[in-house]
Amino acid sequence: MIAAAQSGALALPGPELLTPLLTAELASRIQFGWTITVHILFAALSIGLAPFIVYLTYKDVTTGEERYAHLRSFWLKVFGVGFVMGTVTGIPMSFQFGTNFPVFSEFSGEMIGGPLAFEAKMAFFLEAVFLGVLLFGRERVTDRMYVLSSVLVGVGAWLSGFWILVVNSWMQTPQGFELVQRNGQTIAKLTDPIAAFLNPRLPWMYFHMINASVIAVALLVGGVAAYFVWRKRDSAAWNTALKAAVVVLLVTAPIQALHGDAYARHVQDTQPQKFAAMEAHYDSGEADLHLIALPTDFSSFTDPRAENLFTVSLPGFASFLAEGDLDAPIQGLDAYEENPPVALVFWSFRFMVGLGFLFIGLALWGGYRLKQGRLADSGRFLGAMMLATPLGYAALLTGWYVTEIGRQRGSSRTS
Amino acid sequence: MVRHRNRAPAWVVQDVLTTSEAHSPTLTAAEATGTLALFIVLYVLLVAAALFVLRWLMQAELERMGVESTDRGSGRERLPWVSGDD
Repeated sequence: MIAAAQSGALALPGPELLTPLLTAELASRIQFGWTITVHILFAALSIGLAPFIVYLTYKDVTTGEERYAHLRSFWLKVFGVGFVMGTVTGIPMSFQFGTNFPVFSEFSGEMIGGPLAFEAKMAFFLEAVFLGVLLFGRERVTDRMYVLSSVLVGVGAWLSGFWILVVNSWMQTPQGFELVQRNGQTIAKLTDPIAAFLNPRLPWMYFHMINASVIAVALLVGGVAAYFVWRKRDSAAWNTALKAAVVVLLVTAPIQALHGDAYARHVQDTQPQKFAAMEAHYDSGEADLHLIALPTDFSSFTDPRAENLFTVSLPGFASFLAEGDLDAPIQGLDAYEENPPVALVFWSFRFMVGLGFLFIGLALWGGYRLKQGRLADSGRFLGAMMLATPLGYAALLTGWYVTEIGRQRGSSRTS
Repeated sequence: MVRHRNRAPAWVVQDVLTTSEAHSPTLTAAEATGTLALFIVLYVLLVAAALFVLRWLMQAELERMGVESTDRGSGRERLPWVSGDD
């Protein structure tokens, strides 16, 4: 063997095989993407489960019915584990700002530091303190205080999301700062914190994220409830949970679709490059809306252009949605020197939107059966709810991939 | 950063975020790839541990609710999307 290796007949691994496949920048970005992907599952669990906890706690205290006590106890434990996991997976992320993106951290530290500190001291501590009351204080505090604690845990979870999204939305539509030189480096000096915090993207992003989290958790609660109803049809607790999940979905899923449509218009106004990537709109001009887009081969999957895809499209409708005119020109990707990975953004967007419509269908199906009073009777419906359990999270993640991977590059040919 | 001087501030933020300027200039590819691998393993183990703890915590609760005492879900009966009962 040694002789064969020396003669070149047997190729042994050389230094070139040990060279990492990723650049430092790409590995840093993937690492941040991976950790935040895991972290956001737990953050969304806290945000989405909070209203369920408040409802179940209130019903438990006011009715004294066993089914509410069981459900409160069950989902409170899930909330508690999710809270711990959210903390454990979230703490390394604040360090990763420094280890992975030190130049960006130095550049925008004045903006990012404040909201992250607010998140920890205002929201996280509030949530942590009153979660302790919820977990260990049922017999130690009054009923009123117990219900109030559940509300404050929910407020903490939603405030936590608010401060994190203040930072992220500023990274999408930055304002309230000026560029100054400090120690030979350009940095963003905060000149108007209110304008920076309440930047144009914040209300869109906050509502969409909160609602998406509630949908994801409603599907989780509904899926778990469907499984246990299937196992024991007369389970009072799990029939109640299934009904609650269906009612929440009936409200939130259609709202998310309507809000998403308006949100896309805002993205077109503020980040036209991202909007063009979402629609794979390469050439500036009138833009079609692709209701359905399927790849015909692998290359059309990695390079999604309308001419290479099987599409069902409404001509000029993307122009209409963005500008209210079928013939309105929409800036295409050709207007930019450098573009985000279009395939990832395009398919993630389609996946998210497709799932959104699936959730509406599931909610309507459940609503119809609920009206008939036969929600738990259909094996098919229970099975569909079980299968949909992780899909709310899938939609939430792909939505964030659109937001982050499709981030507007600054290098417009026209700017 | 010199090239940003004549650009609108909002675009400079996007430039910093989306270019290699954002990351550490001293971090090597090997270090970054190794850390990435470490975090993948670490977070998978964390999630697995959380699921294990959750299952342990839930067991007593489910027994109290009576759903643990049925045969369904024990592998003796097909799941509903397979059997299609309606």
